Amino acid sequence: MGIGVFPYIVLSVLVFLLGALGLMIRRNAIVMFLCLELMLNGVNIMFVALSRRMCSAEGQVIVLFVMAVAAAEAAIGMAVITAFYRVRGGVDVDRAQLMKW
Amino acid sequence: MKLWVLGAVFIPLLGAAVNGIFLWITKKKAHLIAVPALFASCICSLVVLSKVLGGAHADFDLYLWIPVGKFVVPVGFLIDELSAVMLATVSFVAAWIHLYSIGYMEHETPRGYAKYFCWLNLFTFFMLLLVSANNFLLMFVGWEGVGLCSYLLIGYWYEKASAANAGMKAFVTTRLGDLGFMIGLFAIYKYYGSLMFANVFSHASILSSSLITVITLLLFVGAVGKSAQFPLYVWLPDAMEGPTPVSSLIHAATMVTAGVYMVARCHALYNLAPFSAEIVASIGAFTALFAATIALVNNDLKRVLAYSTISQLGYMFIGVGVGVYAAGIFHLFTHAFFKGLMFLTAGSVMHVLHGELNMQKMGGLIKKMPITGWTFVVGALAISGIPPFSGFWSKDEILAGAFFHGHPVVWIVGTFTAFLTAFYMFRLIFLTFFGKPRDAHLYEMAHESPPVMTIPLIVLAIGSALAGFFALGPHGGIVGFLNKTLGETVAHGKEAAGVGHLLLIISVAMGVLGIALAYSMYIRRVPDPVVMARTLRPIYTLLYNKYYVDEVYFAFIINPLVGGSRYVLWKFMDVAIIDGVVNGIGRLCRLVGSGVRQFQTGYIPDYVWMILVGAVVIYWIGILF
Amino acid sequence: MSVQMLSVSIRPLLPVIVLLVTGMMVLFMDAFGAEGRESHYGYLGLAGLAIAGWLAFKMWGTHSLSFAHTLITDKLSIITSLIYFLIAGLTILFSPGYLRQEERNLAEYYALILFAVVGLVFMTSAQHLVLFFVGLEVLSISLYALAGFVRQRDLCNEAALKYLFLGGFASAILLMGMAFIYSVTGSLYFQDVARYVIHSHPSVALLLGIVLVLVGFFFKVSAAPFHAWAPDVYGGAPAPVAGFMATAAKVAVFGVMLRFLGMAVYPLKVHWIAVVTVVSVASMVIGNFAALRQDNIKRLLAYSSIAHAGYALVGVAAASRQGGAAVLFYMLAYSLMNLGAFGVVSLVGRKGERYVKISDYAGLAAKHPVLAAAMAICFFSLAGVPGTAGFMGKFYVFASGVRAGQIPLVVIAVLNSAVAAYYYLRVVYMMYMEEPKEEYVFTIHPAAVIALVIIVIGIFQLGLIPGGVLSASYSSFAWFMS
Repeated sequence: MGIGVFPYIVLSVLVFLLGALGLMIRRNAIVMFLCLELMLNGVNIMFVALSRRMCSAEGQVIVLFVMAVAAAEAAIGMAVITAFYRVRGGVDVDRAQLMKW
Repeated sequence: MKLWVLGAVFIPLLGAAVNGIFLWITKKKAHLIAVPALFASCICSLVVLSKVLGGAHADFDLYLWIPVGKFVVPVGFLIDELSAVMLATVSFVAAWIHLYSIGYMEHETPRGYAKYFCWLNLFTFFMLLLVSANNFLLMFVGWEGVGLCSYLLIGYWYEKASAANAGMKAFVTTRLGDLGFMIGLFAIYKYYGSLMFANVFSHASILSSSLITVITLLLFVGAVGKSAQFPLYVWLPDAMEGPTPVSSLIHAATMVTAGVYMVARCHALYNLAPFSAEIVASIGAFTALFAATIALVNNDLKRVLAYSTISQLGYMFIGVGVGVYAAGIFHLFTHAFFKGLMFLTAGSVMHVLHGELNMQKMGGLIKKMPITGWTFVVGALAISGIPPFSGFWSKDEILAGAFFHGHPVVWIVGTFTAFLTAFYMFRLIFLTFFGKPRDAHLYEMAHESPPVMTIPLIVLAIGSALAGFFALGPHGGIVGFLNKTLGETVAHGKEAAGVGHLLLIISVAMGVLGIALAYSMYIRRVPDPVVMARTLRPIYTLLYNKYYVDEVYFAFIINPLVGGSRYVLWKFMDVAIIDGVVNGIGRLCRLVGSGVRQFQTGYIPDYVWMILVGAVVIYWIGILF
Repeated sequence: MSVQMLSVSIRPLLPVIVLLVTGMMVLFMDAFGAEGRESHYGYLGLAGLAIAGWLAFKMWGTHSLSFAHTLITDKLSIITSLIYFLIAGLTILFSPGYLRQEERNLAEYYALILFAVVGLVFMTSAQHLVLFFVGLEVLSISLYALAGFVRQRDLCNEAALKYLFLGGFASAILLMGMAFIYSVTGSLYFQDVARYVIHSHPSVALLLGIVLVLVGFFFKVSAAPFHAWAPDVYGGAPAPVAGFMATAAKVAVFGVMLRFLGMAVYPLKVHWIAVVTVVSVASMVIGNFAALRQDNIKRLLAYSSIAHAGYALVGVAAASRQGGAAVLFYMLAYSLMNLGAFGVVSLVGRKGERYVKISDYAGLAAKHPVLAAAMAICFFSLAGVPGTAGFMGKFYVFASGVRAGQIPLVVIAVLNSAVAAYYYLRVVYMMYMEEPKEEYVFTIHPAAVIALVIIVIGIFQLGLIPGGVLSASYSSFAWFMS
């Protein structure tokens, strides 16, 4: 079996937090979107590892769902970012500050 | 019985609905629907009253409003002596005010006219609902409903900023009181498990007296707001901005009496909470005196009447506070006549003088408008407690109650206030109707109002003069009748008649003295009021500025609230953004540092931080418990 | 597995299938059909919703678990489905006029709304967190597109961008929470989680999982401090869409929240009640106080919706069957009045939504009395004036809170609703008491009038004779633990 499940969980949480950190400190919408995907993949690692550990298929099924959802989200996300780029001439989220307070 | 009650309550709603929906059809004919609706309601109420006089009672549900689990609230009506008297008083006075409005509002635009009658009907409906409901929640619906309608009607001339603001002030101030009422309601539901009057009052004593004290005080907070007692009375004088018949309706029959009614309705609770009752009586006595002193120097015809209403409401609270509930309601009943009357006469004066209200500019008007003038005198005699006019009977009943139930201080305050009342009322009369005209132009303008306005005056004047004789009926008259429901805590019929008579003579003497002083000051000019005002400058200024209460509220409550949200939330955030140091940690600190303030920066990474921090905080809270 | 069984288990999905087919039909007919009849697809969508509603209504009273026990059909799922259909129908009614005026009269708008409803139905029918997640994403992805639907407008695509990132972030957090729960309980079925929770001591990881899932919920109902996206997104999104987002998603997430808290993790109520209470207070305070200073009506409604989420959370914190019923009723009432308000905003805003300041409503009553009256009724209801749906809802929620002993929370809520009355009345005051500054030239699509009439009737019906709806929502929570 090799190493236990715990390192995977740590890895998963790290990947997740890395994604979150990216969302917080990066300005470029494309990069931020990648970070979002990173977060989802962090969760996926956890599900796969747990699924294997518990010998239940549920976790792996969930991963498939999450990947499908992430793909759909990527499609719509890129469309939104493109539309944003056309109107604002850039993809920095600094530009998305018309509405505040 | 059932049908008559439903008729009394719902016919005005029907009138309001017709006028509201067919606004553009009824136009200037709106009164053809609104006025008959009210008279029909009045007839129904009188039939109900006569049935109750015959010993009938009713407590029935129209339909189940909230029928879930243990929480059952019907739309239901409770008809006993108290609500029958209230129904009759409200609908009777309101009906004549409706009639009077036809004349008073004749110059309004067609749409405004229809809207006015629609709201007037709705107003009366909510009040009738309030007094006939058989549970707290339905009563609260009426309670809030009259608040809403008063907002609409006081702000009727919304082109005037002062009118619109007055409407807002009335709504917000009474809303403040309603909070207490609402919390009280929840407490009743929580501890009695029901909101039905029948269930709550029959099991009133199952709670500890401290809990009942809390509940009754919360309810009283609602009454303080709605019935314009100190310190939430400030909306009532401003409510004068509405059309005068509306003022009359608010002051005489609807809205302000709701608080008194509510306390009387909950007498079973107040009997068990002597401390609350003490508070009610004290606030009432203080307000009575306080408002009367302000009325002494005011020169605005309607505002004097407004302060006198506050003062008279104080009397009613003295009544219900010292435990003579029936006397309080009796005073409410007589007050409805004479205060309704006086407002309508003031409206009549105002109507012919094109809105002039400063009585320093009037004088001698009785020659030009005899009906208005003399009916006003009747009202003033009634409020001053001169026998045999109605106010005498009810005021005496309250003061005697206060004295015999061991509240001598309240009695002294009340009696002294009676003196002040007589004085300022007759000051008003002498300045307005007697003496020499001080403004020839205004005097020339004056003439008697049309019959549609004077007939209600005459009817209400007869009421003001004679309503007191209800006290003399068999079995204790109206007081005995009401006591079938209200059942006083201690009977005071057997006290030494001698002391009773002495009190009576003192209070009448006070009234006469007040009138005499007013006569000598404003007709004979000894002592000259102008000179007096100069010598007593500080007191005069204080009174003239109404103790600066409005100013205090503005300085300490309203301005800090408005200013706080403007300068702290807005400007602070503005500055925070302009600084805009793009630094994650710095931003985090700033976000956490500004606490629960608004940190809507419009910047996605900031929002992400917020979510993350929020998650950590609530996780911590979850673990902690 | 026999054919017989399959036909039995597919039945609960019939309304959803109808909606999917209708959505597809809209797309295909648009692709191959003639030009210029886009708004007809809206009516096709309405027909689909009506059929789906009828099918769902016929299932009332039945109870079934299907698709490997992930999908439940019970009274709660049916009643919420009906609410979604109503909301979607009203949104569609507000849309043709709006889309035409924005020159974005495209059929996929209606298809997206129908697909969003499909997602909503799955959310409240879920007995497994993953099914809920998939439903949520179907909804969210449709909403990302809808929020940026008028893509040439600056605010609109800014709203879409913000919603995309923050919604995605919240989904990721929710997913992480699910992973933690899974790591402890070994399953994401509500029943399995419940079985685990009853028999074991709560671990730190489990609590973390629950809290992260709750964060996802709170985000979607725009409860503070996870609310920051709401004013920006509602403010930027097209007004009918904003109305849809502000109502439908909240109904669904509150439904799921009650299922999750009342069924799966009820034994941990000490913990989650504390969390819900704090979030409720924060939402009410932040929502109401921030709304006080708003001069943009869409942002005002957004902040007010944050506050309303706080009121509804009082019912969740009651942790009782009555509380659940109260929340459901409240959400229905809230949906009606908010849709009405956003609907009027979409009309008064005119092309490009240039007139969304509160001062733009000055004297509206003099020029458009019916429109102003509808708006005023919605606002009175939002303020909780008796006789309207808003009062009934609030009262019922607060009463359930009191019954559960949450008296301080209810007191805060009542105080807050008094503060709120100020900014709601300010708008009514503007419409009725101020002089009109302009002529208010705009066309009102007849469909929008129908929607407003339905809403006004609904508000009064729920305020005056709420009995039927109340008892239906009470019976939807028969499963509530306690």
